[in-house]
Amino acid sequence: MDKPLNCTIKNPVNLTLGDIKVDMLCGCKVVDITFPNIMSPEVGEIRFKNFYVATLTVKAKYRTENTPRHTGDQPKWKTCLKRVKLMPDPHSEAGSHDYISLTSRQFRCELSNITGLRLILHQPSPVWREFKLEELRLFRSAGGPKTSPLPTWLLEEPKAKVQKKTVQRVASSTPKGGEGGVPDLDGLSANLQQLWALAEEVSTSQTSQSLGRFEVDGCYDINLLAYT
Amino acid sequence: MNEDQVAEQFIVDLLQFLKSSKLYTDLFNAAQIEAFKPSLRVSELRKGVQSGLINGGWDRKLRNAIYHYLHTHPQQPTLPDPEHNKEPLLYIRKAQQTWEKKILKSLNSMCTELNIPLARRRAEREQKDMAARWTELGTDGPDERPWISLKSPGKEPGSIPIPSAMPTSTDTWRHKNLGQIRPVYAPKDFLEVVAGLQNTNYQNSVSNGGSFYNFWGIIQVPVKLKTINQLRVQYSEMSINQCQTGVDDLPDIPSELFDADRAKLGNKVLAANHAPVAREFSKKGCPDSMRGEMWCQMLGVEVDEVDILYYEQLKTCVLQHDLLVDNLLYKDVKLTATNDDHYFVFEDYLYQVLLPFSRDTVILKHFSHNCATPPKSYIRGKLGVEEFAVVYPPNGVIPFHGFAMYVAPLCYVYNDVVTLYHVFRQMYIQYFFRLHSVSSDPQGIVALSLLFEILLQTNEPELFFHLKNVGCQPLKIAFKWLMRAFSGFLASDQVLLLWDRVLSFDSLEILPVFAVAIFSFRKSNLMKVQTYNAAEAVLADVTTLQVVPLLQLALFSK
Repeated sequence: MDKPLNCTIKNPVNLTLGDIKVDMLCGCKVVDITFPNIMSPEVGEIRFKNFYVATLTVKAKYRTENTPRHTGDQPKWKTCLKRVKLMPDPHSEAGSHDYISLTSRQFRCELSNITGLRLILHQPSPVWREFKLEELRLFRSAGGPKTSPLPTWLLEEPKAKVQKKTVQRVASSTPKGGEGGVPDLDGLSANLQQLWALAEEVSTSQTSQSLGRFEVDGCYDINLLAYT
Repeated sequence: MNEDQVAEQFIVDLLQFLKSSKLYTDLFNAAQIEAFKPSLRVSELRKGVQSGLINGGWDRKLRNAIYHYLHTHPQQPTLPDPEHNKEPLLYIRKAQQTWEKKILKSLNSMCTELNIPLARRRAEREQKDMAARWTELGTDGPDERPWISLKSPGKEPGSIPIPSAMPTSTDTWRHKNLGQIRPVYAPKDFLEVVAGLQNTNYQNSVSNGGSFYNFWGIIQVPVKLKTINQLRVQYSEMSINQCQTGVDDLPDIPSELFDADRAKLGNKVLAANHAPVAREFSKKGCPDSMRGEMWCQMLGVEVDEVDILYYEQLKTCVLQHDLLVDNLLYKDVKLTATNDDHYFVFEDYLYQVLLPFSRDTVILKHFSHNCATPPKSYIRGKLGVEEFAVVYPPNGVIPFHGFAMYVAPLCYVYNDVVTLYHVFRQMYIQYFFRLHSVSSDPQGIVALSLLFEILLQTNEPELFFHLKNVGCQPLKIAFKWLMRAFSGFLASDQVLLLWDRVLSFDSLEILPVFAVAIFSFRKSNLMKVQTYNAAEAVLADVTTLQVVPLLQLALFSK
């Protein structure tokens, strides 16, 4: 597991209409993220736990190239994610507490050379008092190109062939005995290898079937239940 | 973890599961036999073995195994918070925990009051005696035993001469005290818990003072539900223009119209032995003669020697230890099934299923996706020592009042106890556990209750309004139906027709739909009632109702 990016996540800002003092829910919040300590920030994955946010939009602020110090030079904003649905039905609980991971594959633009991110949280339903993102963390890469944990035979070659090859390879690398009276070492080691492979197989495919034991050392005398 | 990784991990787990299953060895052996066939050329070994396995029906078995695995193992990413998989909503998790604590306290106080342990080992003689009475645990049960009248109530059992055939102290105790055992909880108590659920982030909370967003019924959890139209699509096989088993196969209808063809098709389906096909067929109901096998196929129950052996092992466990839970089960059977015209004959059967069920640790697996947690205890004298921590009862399920009724209708379907046991176990870990644990799952009792209320409001608004006005929230009547999946309320054949649909559509949503149908059907009477008791009286006896026509009425008539 790689480390989350060092960034500053500002407090969410409620969007208000007209008078700020009027307490009105408008169903939209903005969270700004800046990277004060990183030279060239790059974001490959956004992880968080949802708390009643219905849709999420992510905008990125890009560093302008060459910075010719024009007075009217606006920083460039791009929309990276637009209204990603986090709750299928905003009025009901579904999705309200999900763990979400958004990776560069879902991003519309690459998040490199940016100076800041802006998350726009929407909750159109008035029934929720609060909505926010919890445990928000950014990562440089999306976990990296991990090798598939699937066995190779499922993807292409049948497994038996691969195994046989390894057995042969190991067998051929053993030094030749060939002395009279000594059994053929090649054959012996090949057999041993096979035996070993069998033993390995058995030990890796341990059954998860429980024996159905519920006693401890054959004893199941209980007086009262424990509160935990 | 992104979706691909989750999917890959799931496949890895599936492979691991298959590899460690008996099917793997069987397949391996079958492949070996195929490979040894002299007709097979070495150059076509792989192809030959594969086609040989397919011809031998092994691919069907493999498909079934994978299908059932997919069915029973929800695809879940590994999360930072393992509790999240059990139940994502904190307030529901807390409510379930509080409820469990209440149950534990009640059990503990029962133990203290009656001065009995939760579990104790039976003496050798007791074990033998019970083994001898295994098939007649009910008739020989605590209440009618003649020898007990020999004793004067005040005397200790030891103070009178004990005849050799006389059962031992547990049974004596049970005989005397079953009257003092009370069910730990009943549907009514559980309804209070479900009705008390409150999301503090919801605007309806009492502290807010506002009731604008409140639901009209008693459930106040905003779970996502299917609309009536979505349900119509889901249950489209049940629509009125389609012939149904349980309606169109009645004896007064000529069998060539529907019944004969249906039976033919059914036999074909059974011969195919493929779970999804059996599911598809059963959507229009199972003919009585095929129900047993059809359900086995849908649930993936194939009783083999190992299963028989496993049942025998459970039986030994029952004989070895006497649990307080046994008394709860005895009491429950006595209160429900024994008193029921439809089920009293099955009393012995019920004990032979329920007692081993309480010892079955396989049930514990379902707690990985159930909000409930199995109760914990420690071996006597080892309080707090983790190595001596045990789950109580061994299956982690504390029965409530009416629990035996989950088994009772199945007694009509299976006459072999071992098959009956395995079918019931599978039904419990796939469906029934959801009916008595607090959860926000769309199949959970909370969502089903809310679905009932919302559907009734949509289908029969004036009826709902009237009942609410006279102080009779409809769910107060319907909740016990839902919690027991209608078992014991309908005629037994009708329960089976209803459960056909639960299994074939793989959803419990049919239960609230049927509850709404009953209210609709009795609407004219219900509109006249002015009190809760009167409404309850109108709905007290629903044994005459026919499941399938009523379901069609509720789903498709408006």
